[in-house]
Amino acid sequence: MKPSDKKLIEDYFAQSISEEDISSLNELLLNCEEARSFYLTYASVMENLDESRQAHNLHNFGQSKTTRFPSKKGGKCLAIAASIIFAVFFLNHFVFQKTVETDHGIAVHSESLPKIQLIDFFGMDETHHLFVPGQTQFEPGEYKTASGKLHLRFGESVDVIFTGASIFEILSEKEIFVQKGSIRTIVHDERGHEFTIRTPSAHYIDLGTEFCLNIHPNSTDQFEVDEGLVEVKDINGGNSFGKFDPYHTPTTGENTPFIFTDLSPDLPGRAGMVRWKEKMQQKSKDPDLLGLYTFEFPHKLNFDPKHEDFIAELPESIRDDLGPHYPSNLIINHAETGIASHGVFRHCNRSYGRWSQNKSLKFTNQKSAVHINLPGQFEEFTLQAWLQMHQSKSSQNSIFRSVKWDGFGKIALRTNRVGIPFQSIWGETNLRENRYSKTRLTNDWQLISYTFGKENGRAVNKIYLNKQLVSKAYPKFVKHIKFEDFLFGASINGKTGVLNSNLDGRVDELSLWSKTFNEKDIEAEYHQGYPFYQSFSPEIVQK
Amino acid sequence: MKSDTNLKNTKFLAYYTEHEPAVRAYIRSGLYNHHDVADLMQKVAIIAWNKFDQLKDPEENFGKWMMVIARYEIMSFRRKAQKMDVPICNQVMKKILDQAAHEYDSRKDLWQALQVCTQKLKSGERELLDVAYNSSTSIKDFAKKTNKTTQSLYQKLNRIRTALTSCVQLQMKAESL
Repeated sequence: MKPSDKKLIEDYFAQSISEEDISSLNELLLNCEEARSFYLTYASVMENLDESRQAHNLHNFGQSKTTRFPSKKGGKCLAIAASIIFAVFFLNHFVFQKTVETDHGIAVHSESLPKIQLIDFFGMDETHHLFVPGQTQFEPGEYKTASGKLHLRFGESVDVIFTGASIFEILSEKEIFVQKGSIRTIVHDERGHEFTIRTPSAHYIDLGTEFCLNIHPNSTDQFEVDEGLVEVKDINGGNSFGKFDPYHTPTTGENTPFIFTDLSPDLPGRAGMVRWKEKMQQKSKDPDLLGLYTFEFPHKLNFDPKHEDFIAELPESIRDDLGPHYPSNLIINHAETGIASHGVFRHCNRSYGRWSQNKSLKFTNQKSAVHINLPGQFEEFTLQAWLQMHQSKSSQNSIFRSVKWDGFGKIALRTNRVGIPFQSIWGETNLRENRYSKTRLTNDWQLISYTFGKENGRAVNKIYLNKQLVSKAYPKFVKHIKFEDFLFGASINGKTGVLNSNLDGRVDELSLWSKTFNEKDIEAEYHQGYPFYQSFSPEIVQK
Repeated sequence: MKSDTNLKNTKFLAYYTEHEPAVRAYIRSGLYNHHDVADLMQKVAIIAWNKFDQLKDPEENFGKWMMVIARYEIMSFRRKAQKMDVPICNQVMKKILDQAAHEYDSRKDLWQALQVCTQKLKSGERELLDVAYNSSTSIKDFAKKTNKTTQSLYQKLNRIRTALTSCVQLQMKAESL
């Protein structure tokens, strides 16, 4: 093993691994058994050393002198085990009894029509253009998916996610028959208790929360319980093979119609992520796109961000702002036009995004901002971003603003303390905003769009939240938008003179356009980008 | 009835005490943040205690059975922690955990090899290890006392851990021959 490989593992356990090295570490551990062995030994060494520290602290507390490595069969383990036994006794006698009572109280048997809702899918063809995530209802009947992913919700309490080709029949709100397919089932609450998946080999009855199945015709079912309890019965629903929890030792039971396997069908939200990535690729080619920023780690770039040529091509103002964390704080402009610069951020963290496994940028304090350079001036312009706001601490929270506030065309967008967005335009001291909606930024993911263009020959600025027009203003003097350098987030450090005006929240996907989006454009963008937990690309054919 | 419970307690404690360090190390290999290890270990222990009656042949299976429980808890933890950073991807983590289960018997008594390797460290290195793990002096105070920067001591500590790991691997290999 190379010393550099050992260093990667060392950095990982010291929690000082750089974002660039994460992918190298994953690749190393995936392909090298020796590296995995070293990793495991490192983990054991760390844990043994840590344990000796904890033992030292315990001994100090008891005023007793410690040795470097106390006996592994010593009193500490006994103390922990004894405390566990006490905890279990407590749980069994108090908490469990309460749960049983609650179970009886909550049981609900709906007698209304089956409600099976489409939550998400990905890659639908023309024949499925009527499917609307969050709205389309599925009726009992047989269905077939040729590929992709389909996410359905049964009776508002059970999520079933199909991955890949599948054939299934919806029997009721609480029962499906699956001939073929890879399925994850998640029961959200008591109403989904005893949700049943029938296969040609058995009945799987959910008594808990989450399990996965792989059903292949003429083959043994593959089965995994992730959480809770699942009872398996024979195909008549009579004889029980037992109730299984996640800890049942994997075995190939001779008399059971299934084998326990480590399955990993897609989680909720995965389809949205796949669809979003595809959409990003299409979007990046749009000739009107000035800048498109996502906040994934930059370690999969096909260029070297530290290379002097790359740095030399950055605008001077951005070069001055790279900071000590560069290139971890680099955000790439994915737009093929490349008109706006790549950006850098400061005092921000990468955080969870709208989709399973995508990233957003979290603005953590009054200095948190993204710095981007956008040369030129624009008679038509749109800025869009997905925002999730937290509690506003300031009376004014900056969303974006030109760094220099020094001439016509410079604009700023802010929110007040309760999250209502409003704009400022340089030189327009008597700008009057017409309000059309009381919609405000909340802690849900919302699409904010700021547009500039013309309406009946007059310049007009509009602000939309999701697909709703919130405000409109007619500037008297401004004929074009001009940013040069602008900050998304905080506008402080004396650069703009507006203190304590920061963005308290997350941004996931930021785009800049040299065209004015109309209501239809914005509505389409909203529907494609809102995370309903939609799944992926099935060619769904109802037989 | 009472004596049955006492017998279960005694048996469980004996097996748990024997296997706890190895299972804890297994959990450590599955988590990025070491602060989560104790919580997960406690959860695994409670589950093991609750299900101990169902385990057949605990003499033979207790350790590996605890690892099965730990594996599910690790993967479950990772699923819920998706929104946070989980640097090692699921595919790789499954390989790591598979290998750990496969090598369980050979790693069970790793701490003995670690003791041997610690004795092989230079006196300055042992002193630093003592400060870090076995003393109430903080690294910051120790850095002041020795006219070194805190950062340099942390880096040295990292190098010591790596050296110990290499040594432990060699030691275990030699013992297995």
